[in-house]
Amino acid sequence: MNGGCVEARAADGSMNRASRFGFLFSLEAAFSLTLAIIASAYLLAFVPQKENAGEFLACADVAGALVGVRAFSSQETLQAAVDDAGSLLGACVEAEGAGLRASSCAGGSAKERLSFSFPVWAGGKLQDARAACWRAA
Amino acid sequence: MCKNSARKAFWSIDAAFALVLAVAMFAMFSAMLYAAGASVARGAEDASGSLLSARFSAYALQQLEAGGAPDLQWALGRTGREYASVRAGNEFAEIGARGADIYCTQRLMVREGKMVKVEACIG
Repeated sequence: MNGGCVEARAADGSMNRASRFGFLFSLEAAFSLTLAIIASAYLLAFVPQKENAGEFLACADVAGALVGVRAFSSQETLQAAVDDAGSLLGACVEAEGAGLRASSCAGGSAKERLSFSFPVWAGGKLQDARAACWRAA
Repeated sequence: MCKNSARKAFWSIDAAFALVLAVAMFAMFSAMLYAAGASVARGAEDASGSLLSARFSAYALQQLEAGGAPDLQWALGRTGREYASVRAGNEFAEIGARGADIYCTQRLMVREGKMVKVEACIG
């Protein structure tokens, strides 16, 4: 302790500048600061997940409704049905099947889309169809 | 032994700062735990409300597709909630007092060859 008292002072008796501010810029402080920054960065990961059961059901309804209104009979009918479904739900809707394809709006990455595959009766046979929904930008 | 220095070492800025940090961290962790608890409770309530609303919409849709009307009084009795409403196109029915926490689910159905939006709310 006595040695520290002596060592902290320079030859002229003044306090050593490095000793006075050493506690502020120590390796420990730098390490703590780094840890605090890392911990703060991880706070951004705690984003509440949006529950989308309603959107899932609504998109499943779109698939059923497209079959119900016989939307896959022509390109015009499919486009009108897709536009109708999109405006009713306030979402973007895309449908594809029986060689036809229509979308109520462009965009929507694969990650944002909810997609359903379902069979449709078109051209005298059962064919694959797909409906996708995503939120309008 | 330098007595003055020893006392200074005990009551140093470093020690005071550590004490302040300890108090601040304790307060911060308490506040964070409280906020996390409140957030989880709110999230659970939201999940419960929206899932109940989704199931209620399935019941309403089933009744409407069968050509009937959903029994809102029965739904309130079964769920223990205070408000329920169903809107199908231009038709609207509601029961109970509309509070602050209302959970709605939008559905789509085909009626007389046309798409109709159905909105079932419960709260």
